[in-house]
Amino acid sequence: MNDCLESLPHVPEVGDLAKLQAQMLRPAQNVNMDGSFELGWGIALLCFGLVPYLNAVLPKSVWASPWTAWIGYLPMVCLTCAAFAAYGIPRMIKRFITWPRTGYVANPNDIKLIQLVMLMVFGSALGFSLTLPFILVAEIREAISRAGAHSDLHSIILHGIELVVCATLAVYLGRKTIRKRQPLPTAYDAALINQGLGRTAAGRKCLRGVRFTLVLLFVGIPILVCGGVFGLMYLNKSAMRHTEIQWPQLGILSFLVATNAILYLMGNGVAIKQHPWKWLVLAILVAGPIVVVPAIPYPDVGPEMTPILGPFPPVMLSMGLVWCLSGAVTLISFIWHNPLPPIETP
Amino acid sequence: MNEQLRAIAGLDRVIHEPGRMMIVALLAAVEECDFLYLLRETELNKGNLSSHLAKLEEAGYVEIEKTYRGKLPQTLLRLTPPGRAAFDAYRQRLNAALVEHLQVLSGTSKST
Repeated sequence: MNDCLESLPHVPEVGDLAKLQAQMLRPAQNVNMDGSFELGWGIALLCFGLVPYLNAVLPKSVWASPWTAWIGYLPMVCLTCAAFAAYGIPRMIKRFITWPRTGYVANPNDIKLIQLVMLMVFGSALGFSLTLPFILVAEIREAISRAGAHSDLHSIILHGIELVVCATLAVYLGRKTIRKRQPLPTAYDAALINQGLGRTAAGRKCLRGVRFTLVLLFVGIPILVCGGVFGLMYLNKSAMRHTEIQWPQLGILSFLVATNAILYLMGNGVAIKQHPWKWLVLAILVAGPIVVVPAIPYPDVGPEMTPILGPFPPVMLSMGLVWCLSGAVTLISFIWHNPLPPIETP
Repeated sequence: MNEQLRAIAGLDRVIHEPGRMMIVALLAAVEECDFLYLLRETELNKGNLSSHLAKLEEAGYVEIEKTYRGKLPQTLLRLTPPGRAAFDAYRQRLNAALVEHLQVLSGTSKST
């Protein structure tokens, strides 16, 4: 886009604006220059993927006590670890490795720890608020059909109180946590530049290129990736241990893999130019689960859920491992190319 | 003086200098940063960067805070609210100058 702006003839200010724009975009573009986001997200995925395996390996008494079972103790612990890994690991890497080399910078949209905690409580409260009414309705129906059962009444009252508390929390925290992100200040009015570009043949060609790229990025890539993964999984269905095709399983898995591929592409927007090997990682990220799903045993997530949710843990483990490896290589490359500056005494 | 020249003449001279424009543009995009970060990003030398920062601080556009990170000294820099307002005004002026140019350009292309 900047080349396009500079190619606009007879408008010297456009050059200044383009330079200004490029300068202002740099802090946001360099957020993942050290691979910290990849490592954080990779470890979060590993946490998610490990839950069912831990469920299978650890003794039931760890999480199945009456006090902890109702909140899904172990999944909640792993979910919390995953959220803090995605938040804390990039912060730690930045603090101890990146900032001493490149200098400290705080981006306006960086999430703070208290905001993360509030967001997690809000998410849990919202989840319970949405699911508890279904449980309550089912319990009330059962209580009506079996009139006079005291244990049912206690359970209904308990769930009713939980619903009120969760809904109140969700409403209160929702207003505090869901905030409009501060927009990155831009140097120029995009509509104005477009108007200028449209006046020359070179500018029109440039605009077509930009539009095509945008369409490809936001529509084409998600469809292509999702379609590719879906197609490969369909072809590989015999290896998925089910004679009949599990459409929800294929659909959700494809969506998960495609989402991760797009996240990887977006997270490495600028870094992918410096590290072309990330294209290969992207291909492994997409194709890896298709190879991994049949090779790794599914954990037992319940007789009804295993056919659909069974392949998720191995897929998450494989994607988490790819994210982590990619992040580690990026981090090593960053450390290699950015030695610590000499310390000067004041 | 036509509108086009007036728009350019009205640009804030403190910000319009290329080195300072780079510094202010970077600071506008972040919450705060330290001296080392600006040094790397602008590729200015320490003396130039210091003198530009001193001018911006004198104009009230930049806040400089000397602090310590562990035992190491750290100079934190952030744009003040008047600095942010001045930069917004500067961008609007540049855009206005561009509008004028585009109007002139469209006028000449129609006449040809």
